Amino acid sequence: MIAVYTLLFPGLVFSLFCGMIAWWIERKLSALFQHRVGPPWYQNFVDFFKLMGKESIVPEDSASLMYTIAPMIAFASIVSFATVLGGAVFLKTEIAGDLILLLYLSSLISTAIFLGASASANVYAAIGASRELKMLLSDELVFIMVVLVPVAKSGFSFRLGGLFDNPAIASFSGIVAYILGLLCIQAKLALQPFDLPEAETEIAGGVEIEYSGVLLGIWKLTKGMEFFVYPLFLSVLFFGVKKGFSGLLLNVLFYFLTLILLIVMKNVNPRVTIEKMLNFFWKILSPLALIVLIIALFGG
Amino acid sequence: MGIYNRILKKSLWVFHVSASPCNNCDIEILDLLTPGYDLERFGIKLVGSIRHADVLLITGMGGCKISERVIRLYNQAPKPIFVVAVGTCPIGGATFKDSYSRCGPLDKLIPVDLYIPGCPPKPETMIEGLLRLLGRLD
Repeated sequence: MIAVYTLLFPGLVFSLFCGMIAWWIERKLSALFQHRVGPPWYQNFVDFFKLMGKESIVPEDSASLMYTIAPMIAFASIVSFATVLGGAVFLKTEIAGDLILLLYLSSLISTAIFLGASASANVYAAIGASRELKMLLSDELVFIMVVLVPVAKSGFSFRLGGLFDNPAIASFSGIVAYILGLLCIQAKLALQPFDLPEAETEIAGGVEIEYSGVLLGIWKLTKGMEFFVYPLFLSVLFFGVKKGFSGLLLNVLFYFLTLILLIVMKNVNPRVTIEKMLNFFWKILSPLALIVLIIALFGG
Repeated sequence: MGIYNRILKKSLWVFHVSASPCNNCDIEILDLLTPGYDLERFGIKLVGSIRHADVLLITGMGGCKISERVIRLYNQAPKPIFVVAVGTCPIGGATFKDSYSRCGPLDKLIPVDLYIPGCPPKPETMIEGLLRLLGRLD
């Protein structure tokens, strides 16, 4: 049964399909923002199948073992993230402390990106890797405090199932924490204004620069699934999970609201520099998140 | 290879190399990405790294210094890779024909799959050329 959960329904196949479609929505909406036509809906699948048939090059100077293993670590982490989250949302299966597990898995993905990029022995990839690590250090603190707000609202339950019954968005601290959470997800997905590790125009793809063929395809799969699971995580954390068919429709609506807010934020902002990003997260968002958490603890 | 080529046709990632051009063709190539022409609707995307590329788009007459790099880039690219030469310079050198620093034409350095002549070719011509390359894959 666990194999079915992991490979089929909330896990690999389902969240991969949804993720590729969510990524297509991102590309299509960005194209519409720029008055372009944009790619057809199957574009991401086609890109992936094409990459499967290309030659996979391992650079001579690279640490080849880590270079090949890092995308698989990231992919395995995102699949288990999707399984645990999807199990809690769609199937009501529960693991003790699954919220903490999800936080660890999300930082494991960033760590794998950092390891893979530093193993590839490329200068641009090294810049991207150092930026990825700095971004992990800056957004993780805010993200954990944001996640603690719904936890405080629901009577200190670290099970996802316990958070779904009373949505945190109904209060003042919930609304502010949701906005802060959106910024953190933006940084975790590496979208503008926080696309520093991948900065295509500046460091030519950054962390992925040396990857080609199958390994690049695995990175693309990881990125596609992130587009599904991170916004879903944020939306169920704050809006809760409603019961019944109309509740499911409402959940899909909340998911799309989160995704579209992220895409709009991506399209109206230019890329910031790394020290501005660190200042923004450490000096402005972290104290704000702490204040919000204290307000939430006093029931505001 | 039939199915794979049909998939490859729908997703070509292009890497742009300037082998000592006068910059005219490069400006026209940037025009391809603007909303007026929008190559992304064919799945064609400009990428920043040669390791991601399916098409090597080369402009310029091929100066002696850059020609070594062009060969190196061709060897670094993951196969299958297609080479598209944009402009008259890679074919005949145009105004740089008798230049002391010219090591072209391009097909002396690497095999070329498609020529798009013009000085510079219009964006419409380049789109037609790329789509003709797609047609040749069948």
